Amino acid sequence: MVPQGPNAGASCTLLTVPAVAKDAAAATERPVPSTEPPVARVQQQDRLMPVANVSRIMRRALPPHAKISEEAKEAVQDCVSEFISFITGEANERCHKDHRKTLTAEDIVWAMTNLGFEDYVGPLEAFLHRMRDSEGGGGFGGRGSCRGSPLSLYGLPGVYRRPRAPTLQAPPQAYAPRPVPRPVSVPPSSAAPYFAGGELRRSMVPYYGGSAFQAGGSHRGAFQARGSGHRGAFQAGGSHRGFYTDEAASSSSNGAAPALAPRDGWRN
Amino acid sequence: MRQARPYSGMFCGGVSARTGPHALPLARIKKIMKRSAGETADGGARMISGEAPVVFSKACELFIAELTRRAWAATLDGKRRTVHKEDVATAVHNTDLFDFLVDVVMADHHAGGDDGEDAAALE
Repeated sequence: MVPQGPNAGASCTLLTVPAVAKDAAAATERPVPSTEPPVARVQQQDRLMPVANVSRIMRRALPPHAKISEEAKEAVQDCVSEFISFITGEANERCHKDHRKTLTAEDIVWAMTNLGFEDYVGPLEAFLHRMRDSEGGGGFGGRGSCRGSPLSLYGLPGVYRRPRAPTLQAPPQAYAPRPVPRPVSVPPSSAAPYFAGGELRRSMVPYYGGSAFQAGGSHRGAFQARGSGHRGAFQAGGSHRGFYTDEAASSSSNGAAPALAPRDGWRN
Repeated sequence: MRQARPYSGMFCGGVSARTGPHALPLARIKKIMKRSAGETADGGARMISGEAPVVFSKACELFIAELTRRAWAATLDGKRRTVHKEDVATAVHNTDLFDFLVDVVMADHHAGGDDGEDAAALE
């Protein structure tokens, strides 16, 4: 299982007591809310990814009508933590062998290739390039990794790809186009209809970055169908957009009087 | 609200842009990594570069998606629409790549005595 630190020893002891009393399936992995002290619960949750995040990613991978039981979410939570430990252990050994102190992204990718997860390497490399591109090669260079493309060590082209069109095939859902927060590159003309003033446009562009790149209002549906990784974000952006378009639409379609009435009220 | 923060970070000149909108919390990933990495290091704690948790956040997304889809295949086999823990276990047992998870999913199977037989039959 996941190697436990010294602090977790006490929490394991505490957890076995409720396991006897309650249903074993539920209690072996999760602390009992009523009898467990909060400290043990925090320590238990520390080694797991948040269930909300995990279930969001799960739902994205499934058709919309699918349902997920709570225990399945918890099982995947455990699996993710085990995955991290598994890969990290392998990467750590490589670091150790090379007498290096710092575990880098390159080590992680190497470990994944070694352990059979080579299918992940392509998307990860593209993702890393995108991140470095958005950073401008700045602070993200990190302490232990080289600026260029450490992944080129694996014989991969390491080409500095523009993150316009993701070429990733394997789980496409997670890599829906990400025009995401790039205020600079959003074409002003597409953002103009939503905003009155220039400063408004600038401040709202990160939220509307997604919609600015997509045609019409169908992008929201498209993202939901694809299960984009930023679905939550784009929904937030989408709801903002709806708010503003409603305002714009009401002011244009309802005529001057009804739309202006509340505003006059504010001014008065 | 959670999604708002990464965008405002980007807007603020990209200072915290390195974190970006990740689906999984980097700090917790790093904590789990430290548990695995820190223990086997001989002298001193293993240092973890800033990129490593980021790579993991994406890798975990891929992993969760793959595991979930395989579990869903088991759900469909059972002509159901709700993914259960047993479907996750089936997916693990059916995939060589997920051999390292066998103990993790089996730990949840202590409830039923016949679960062990099912697992053996799947193998």
